[in-house]
Amino acid sequence: MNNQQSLLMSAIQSNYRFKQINRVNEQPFLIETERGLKKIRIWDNEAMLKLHLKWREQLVTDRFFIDRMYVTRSGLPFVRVGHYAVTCHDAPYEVAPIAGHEGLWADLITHLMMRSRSTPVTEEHFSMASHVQNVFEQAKTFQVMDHEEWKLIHSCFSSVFTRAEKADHLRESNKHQMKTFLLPEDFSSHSCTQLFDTLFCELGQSQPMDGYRLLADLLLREALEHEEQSVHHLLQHLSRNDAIDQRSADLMLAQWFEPTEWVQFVYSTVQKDQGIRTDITVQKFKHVWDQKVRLIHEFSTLFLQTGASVGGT
Amino acid sequence: MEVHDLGPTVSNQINRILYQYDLYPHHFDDQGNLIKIETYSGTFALKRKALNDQQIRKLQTVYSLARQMTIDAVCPLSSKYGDLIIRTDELCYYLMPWFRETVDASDLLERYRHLFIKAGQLHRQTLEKETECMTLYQDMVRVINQRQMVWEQFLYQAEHHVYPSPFEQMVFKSAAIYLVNMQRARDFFSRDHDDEGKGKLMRRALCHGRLSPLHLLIQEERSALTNFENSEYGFFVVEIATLFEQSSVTLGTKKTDWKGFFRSYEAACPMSDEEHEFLLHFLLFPSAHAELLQRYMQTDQRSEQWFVSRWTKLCRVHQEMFTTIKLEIDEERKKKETIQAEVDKKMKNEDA
Repeated sequence: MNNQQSLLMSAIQSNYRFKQINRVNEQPFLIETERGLKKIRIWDNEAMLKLHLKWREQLVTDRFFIDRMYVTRSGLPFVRVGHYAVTCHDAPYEVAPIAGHEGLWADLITHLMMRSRSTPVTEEHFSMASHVQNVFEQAKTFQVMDHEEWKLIHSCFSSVFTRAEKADHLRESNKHQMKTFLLPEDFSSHSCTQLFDTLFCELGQSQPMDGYRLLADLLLREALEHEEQSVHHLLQHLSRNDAIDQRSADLMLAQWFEPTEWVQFVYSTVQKDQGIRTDITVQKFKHVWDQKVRLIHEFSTLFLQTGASVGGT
Repeated sequence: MEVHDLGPTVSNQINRILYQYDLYPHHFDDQGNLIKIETYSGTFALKRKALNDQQIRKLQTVYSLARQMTIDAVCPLSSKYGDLIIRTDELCYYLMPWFRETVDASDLLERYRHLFIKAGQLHRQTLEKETECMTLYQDMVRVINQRQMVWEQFLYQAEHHVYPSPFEQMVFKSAAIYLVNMQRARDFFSRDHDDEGKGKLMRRALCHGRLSPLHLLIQEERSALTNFENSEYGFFVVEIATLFEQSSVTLGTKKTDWKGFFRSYEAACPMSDEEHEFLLHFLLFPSAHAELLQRYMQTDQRSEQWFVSRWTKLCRVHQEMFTTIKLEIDEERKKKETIQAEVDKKMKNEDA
């Protein structure tokens, strides 16, 4: 253990009410105490720490656990060690994948959608339609037209452009909202563990981002990498919870409408032409595309009000 | 884990709450609003009740005073996240150390004995400067007027009965004295300015808000107040006067040491002359009597015997309590006057 680590351990020992502590892991920093495993987080950005403290306060509920900060002997939620702030959190280890825990995940998402709301940290407004148009034009200049992939890129462009326009339209009509749904940037299906028949959700320490984008990506990833059926169950639960209002539905759909898989496929084709190895294959592109189509269809059926329509894909 | 009287869902909810204290129980015992929790780290009382934001803030104030050792109170323990209260959708929970009480809840005399001492200590330890009490006096006048209205309404109805009931006859007998007393109290509380025209001043302190023999934990000689969710700073004389009134109703005809109660409170928190006067005049218009009259008027199926017996007890105990307190105050005043006279005499002699 180097000097810095021993300084940290001694700060933890003297500031928190643990009788004995042992470091058991470095990344993430885990310590074993007589009161169970604890996670230590080191913050170099105090503004972010304060934001996270406030964020957790906002989310406190008896239905889920949030990785709140332990208070020190003097009642503070962090310890200052040099230029850093150190926080201590619970670290339950029983995994809680979405598959098999759809009800709990839906309840958690419902709660987060209601309570994890604030003004967005960064506001991005750019036209996806213009972006795909530019990408298409650029691709032409790279003379990738001889490739087999080009046929696919070209044949999809019209749908890609329509999808991009729909995404722009859905985002545009919902952009004048003061508060939006936020999730930590690294939110994933690994963000939750299980404890006393409920979920323990880790907000971690990354910055809050547009929750609709992150949630839509999480559902897509879950459907692609794991079981589509579990996403189906999750959506059913969300529907029963009345979790998704018109705005949420629009913004989640916008994320799936955005033809990012096509853009990545174009870049991948260009890079391949330049001899750079990429992992975006035709098959993968088609897989993502089809999955998005299915998600959009199911989501629209469940959540869009009668009369509202996002059109076919 | 041994779980008693709790279903799996409730048990998990309790476990979730206790997890916030890093406590893992091996035994639960649900006792209504209180759950006895036994863990390897000790025994605790988990209290369950509906609290609003204001009550939570009040608990936090008291907790901070108790932590500074300003007052002696049994306060909630803080969770590992620093929370005093754990809020759920419907209820609030807070954890307290378990008190193995040595005085039974039914032993009201002993509980009141401790309560008067603890009330005095609470008021004394949190005393604030004197402030103008004009509004308090005006409120008192309003309360007297309301009670007088009840009396008048009752007497009006009773007088118009060809044959007054036994209870009505009983009330007639004591009406004169109570009405005169109410008038004396009104005269006193109507003078909210002193002789020089300045507004009267009274001392304020932290008032518990719900003093009751059940909001007190007693273990051997140690006792401490609890249930502070309605506490706030105010004119504490009102709280002690209300406690006297409450105890006279609750203890009924039990042989009560009113002198002891008064002396214990005075020893812990000596009252000023103005506060003594306030107390005496407050006790001149008891609420229990007016409430009984109102209840009689509103009840169709009356048990005359019950009302008569209740009235008799109320009057007897109230008179006993009032007389004892008045005697004590008079005696104290005399003592003070004698001491003052002696001091004056001594000073005169020295001047001479």
